[in-house]
Amino acid sequence: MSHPDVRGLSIAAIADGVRAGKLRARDVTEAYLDRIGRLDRALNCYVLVDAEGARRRADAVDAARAAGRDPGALAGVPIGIKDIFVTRGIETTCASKILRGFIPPFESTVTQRLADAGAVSLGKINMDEFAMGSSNENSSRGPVRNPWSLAHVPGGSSGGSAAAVAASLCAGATGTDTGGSIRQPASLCGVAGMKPTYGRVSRYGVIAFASSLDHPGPFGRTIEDVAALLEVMAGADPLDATSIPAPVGRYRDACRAGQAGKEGLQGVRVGIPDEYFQPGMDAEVEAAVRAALDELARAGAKVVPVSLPHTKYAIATYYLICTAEASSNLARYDGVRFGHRTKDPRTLEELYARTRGEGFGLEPKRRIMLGTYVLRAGYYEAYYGKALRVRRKIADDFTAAFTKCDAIVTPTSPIPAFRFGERMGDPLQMYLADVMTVAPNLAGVPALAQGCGFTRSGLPIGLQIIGPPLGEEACFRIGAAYEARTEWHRRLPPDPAAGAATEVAS
Amino acid sequence: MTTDLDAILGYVAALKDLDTSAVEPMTHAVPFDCPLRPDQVGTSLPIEEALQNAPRREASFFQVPRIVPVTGGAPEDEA
Repeated sequence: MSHPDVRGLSIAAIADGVRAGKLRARDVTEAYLDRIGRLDRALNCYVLVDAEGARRRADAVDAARAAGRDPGALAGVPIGIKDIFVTRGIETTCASKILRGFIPPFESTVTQRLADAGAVSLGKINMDEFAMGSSNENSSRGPVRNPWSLAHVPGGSSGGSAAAVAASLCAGATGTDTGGSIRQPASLCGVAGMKPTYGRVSRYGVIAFASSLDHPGPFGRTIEDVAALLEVMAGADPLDATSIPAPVGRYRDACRAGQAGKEGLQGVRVGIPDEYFQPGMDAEVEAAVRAALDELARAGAKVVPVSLPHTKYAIATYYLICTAEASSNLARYDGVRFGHRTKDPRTLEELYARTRGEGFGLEPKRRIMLGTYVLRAGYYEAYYGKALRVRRKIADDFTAAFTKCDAIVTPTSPIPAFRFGERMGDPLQMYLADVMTVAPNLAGVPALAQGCGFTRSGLPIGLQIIGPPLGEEACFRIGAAYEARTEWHRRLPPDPAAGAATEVAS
Repeated sequence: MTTDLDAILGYVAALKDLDTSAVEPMTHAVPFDCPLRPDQVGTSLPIEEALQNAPRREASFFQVPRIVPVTGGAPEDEA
């Protein structure tokens, strides 16, 4: 059987091809399933491949088109679903032992909307357990490897989504971002990803980590692919009380505005915060990001200095709030109604304690303990209450900065991908690597990540474009303008050799 | 683990330096009013589906070890 060559294919090319009858959804799906079968042993992106379901969905798209019905904006586009999105009838585990065997009786809003638009889910994607991690080393299913170098981490927590898109094991993917979990892996794997405004995409059916910080969003190879996915995923949802009722933006149009002509950013003010260019940043990362700023200026943007003076408090604020919320959210995993239950507990207390002791990995345990501690009577105001106040100062920084600019441009991660094991021994060092990404989650503002170069050793470097609330269009316009003037997004990692899977200490 | 938690708590203590006495806590990223919907009965999950993931069940209930002690004694062994 001959499949189309899908390596590096964009979502736009697939959807246009299927809608025009030039590509069959079934052939495209088979091509991706074939790649997964050959290459994912080395990368470990998928925790579950739903080949039969994918074929059924692809055939339904082909049948709809043959019958003259609209097959949808994402007709036949094969996507990977981060295992944090609940999928009806398909095991959903958040890469945790405590949810092994959990078959959800309902479907998340995001996956439902993608399916309704004709997208073909290929399966569930690996991640850090309960989305807690920046390297994918916290997955109970083994770490995902970075397609650019199997000895390096793909980032986290949506490391599987980023690696799968980079390696063409799906055309696009869903992720979630609580403190950088879409943008940091996108950056480390050389793909694009967006954390939209808080409430822009429904959280219904997304397993909660820190509810006031959790943002579902898309991954794609190009900015326009990310825009196409977000147009489908976004929008008000009666099942999520925090979803925003405002109409969804025309994100692909914003991309085209940025791509148009020689100076697609004419009249756009790009803010550069000094606080994001501090000692400790990798020299190659800084050089690549500064070169990207020059490119934006050549595209017509006016580069202006802005200040985000409370940046140095962002990590501490973030880890206080996210652990507090996690300790509350993860209380539901008690072995009573679903998921793992310990064998033969004698008392209810033993059932709870042993189930949780056996089911959770080290990082969720660490965060549950920290969160419980900071919420403890007598400590609440000093830790959690304090963090909520500093959170407002950090959000106010963005409000002030956006009076001077239309978007803020920074690196996504101060360092490129690191080696497995390099940071696992010191959780605080691991947390500090999130310095560029956590503040937009605290403020709830949208932020786009995309590639802006490679290190001499061939590892991707990422740019971050932060917009004001509901300012996704500004991010897309700037991102697409940069992409149209550069070639980084066309570079593809080599396919891993068969048998390239190496044991990784974790 | 103890060392890790100490290091993290030491790091977050830096927030104490910042005066926030005049700042309201921010509990939500975007300002919003709690939306209300009409108080109408909707469809809910059938009992069989709600119980399909139960590690142990009896009839239409989730089953756990005994939590109320039998008269005058300690909790019995029962799962």
